[in-house]
Amino acid sequence: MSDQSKSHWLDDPATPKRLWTVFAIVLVLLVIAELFVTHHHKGFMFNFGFSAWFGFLLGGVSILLSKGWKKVLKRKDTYYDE
Amino acid sequence: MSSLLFHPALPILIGAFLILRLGGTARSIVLLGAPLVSLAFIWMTADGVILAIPYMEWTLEPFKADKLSRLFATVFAIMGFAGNLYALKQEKVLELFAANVYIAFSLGVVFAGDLITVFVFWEMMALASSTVIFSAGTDTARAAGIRYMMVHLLGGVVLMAGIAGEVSATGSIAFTSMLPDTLPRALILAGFLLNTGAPPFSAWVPDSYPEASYSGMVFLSAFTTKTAVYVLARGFPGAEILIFIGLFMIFYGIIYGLCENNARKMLGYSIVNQVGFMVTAIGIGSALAINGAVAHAFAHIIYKALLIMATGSVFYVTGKRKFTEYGGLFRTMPLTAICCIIGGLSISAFPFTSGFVAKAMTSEAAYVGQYYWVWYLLAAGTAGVFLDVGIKLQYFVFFGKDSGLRPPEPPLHMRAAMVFFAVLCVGIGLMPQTFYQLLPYQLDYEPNTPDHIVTQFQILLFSGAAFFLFLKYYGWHLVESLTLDLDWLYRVWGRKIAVTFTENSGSARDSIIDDLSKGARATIDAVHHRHGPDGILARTMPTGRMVFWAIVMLAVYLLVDFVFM
Repeated sequence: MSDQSKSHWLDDPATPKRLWTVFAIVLVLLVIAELFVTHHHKGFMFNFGFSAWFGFLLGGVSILLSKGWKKVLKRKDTYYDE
Repeated sequence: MSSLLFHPALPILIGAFLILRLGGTARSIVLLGAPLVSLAFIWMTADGVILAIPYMEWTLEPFKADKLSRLFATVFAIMGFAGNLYALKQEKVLELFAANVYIAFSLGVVFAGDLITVFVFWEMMALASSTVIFSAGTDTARAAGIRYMMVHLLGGVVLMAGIAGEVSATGSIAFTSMLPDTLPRALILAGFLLNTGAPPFSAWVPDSYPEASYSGMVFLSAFTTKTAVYVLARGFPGAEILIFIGLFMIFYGIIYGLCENNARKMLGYSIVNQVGFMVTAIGIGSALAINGAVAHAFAHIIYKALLIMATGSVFYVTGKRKFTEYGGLFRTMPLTAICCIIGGLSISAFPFTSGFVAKAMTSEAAYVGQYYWVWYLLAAGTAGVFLDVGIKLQYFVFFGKDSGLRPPEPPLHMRAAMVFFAVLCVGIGLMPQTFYQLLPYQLDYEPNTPDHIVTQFQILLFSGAAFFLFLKYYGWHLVESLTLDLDWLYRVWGRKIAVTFTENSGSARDSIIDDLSKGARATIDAVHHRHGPDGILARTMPTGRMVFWAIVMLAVYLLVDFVFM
């Protein structure tokens, strides 16, 4: 992974797949880890796995909302210069 | 009066003037030394009113300190030091001068004990910050600077109207905690809110700041919005309307940030988003929430400056600012990339960073105060920020599609400033209790608990998973575009109205002048007709006619006397 060499390890075509595998394992471990902690508060937001699906859902909703918003209000970036 | 000599604004203000005269090493020493002397003054300052000056029937308190003002002043001075270090080789002396004057005035606001002093420094900040924008010297900077001034001068007028109303209603100029329950107080709140980037005037932040120079934006990001957070925390804690305004700002910043193609503009949107968290916390208003708001302001100044320094470095070495032009810069700018990522993790409230230990208090305050819906929206906001600055910015600048650009790292002083702030981001995250000592309220709260860390990681990484799945299966499709915002109202319609008014008022003026000159001509002619050489009143008359009329008048007099007396 030295910077001097022409190809960086991140440029390796196999890297994305490896990163996805590591990422997926981390996600699963994070959900399992919740079994071993005690929540200090009570409530729906502290149910098992809430943060995981809420994060995923809201992440998706934010992306779709922004894409929709952009579709409606997108203009050329020279719009105000004209 | 001699106590004024130890006002923390003074060293930076004097330093600003010295910069104009000095060059080379001496200038560098002043740039780096003045904020440190200010910092020493800040920590030497005792609590309470240090200077009171009678003024008309009131007492001005231009120098008053407590824990809240000291906290903000501390981070302002640290920011001054790091900003000056980053801008050490900035050739535009005007920018350095304006930026340092701007820092000094913001210290003036946080040590002001009365509304008049707040107002005076508030307005001077607006002028100094406009100068920072103008000093970039480009046409777009000039236009953006004028729009910036327009919005801030409007805010100043609203604030002044509010203060005048408040003083005439209560007879007091004291700057204390209040609620927006009267018109003047609502105006004061509106004036303060305008500087936070609250709706409907949110667009000034992403519109103006990115047009400043690579270093100018670093200074701008820190003071105006955070001084506004300071005055809100002191003046309007618990004003519930702030919860709604703050939440709006959070999602406004996220949605527009995700739409944006200009990296520096996107960070402008992200300022609005972050200040939204603080405004929401001030609206909740409990001791824990206020601690959350001001801790967030402190942490935010550092990580946002770090992010702007990193993207500013990229801008400095490449001259480009759009995502469509970036990509793959990690190869030759690894240190900048690491610093930017640390800033991105901090702003996303990743565990063990400053953002986490600061924002945690606001969420906790929402839960404890039974604002459950606010808790959910804050959590959603946290997920959104991570997508925005935590992933999108980093991915498209440093990774993503290789742009072929191989720029070098920025100069040493710029790298030093970034590393300094990156270390602070992590240091605060690792030692939250030391950081909490600075906060206005001493509370027993620990953010780094296992349950909190696990759930925070879940929210962030699962929202990140949504981003990368979207990227993998749909693609992000960067395009060179802008997204319309409410500034359209004054940039398009406002302009149209102004142009129409100018044109119409021009022809109206012409026709008024025309009418007036016609009228004047007619009057002169009429006077000339009667009084001129041939006028009826200028003719010579024979003496006989005068005698005749005198006799007639005497006869009439006699007749009247005879008949009526």
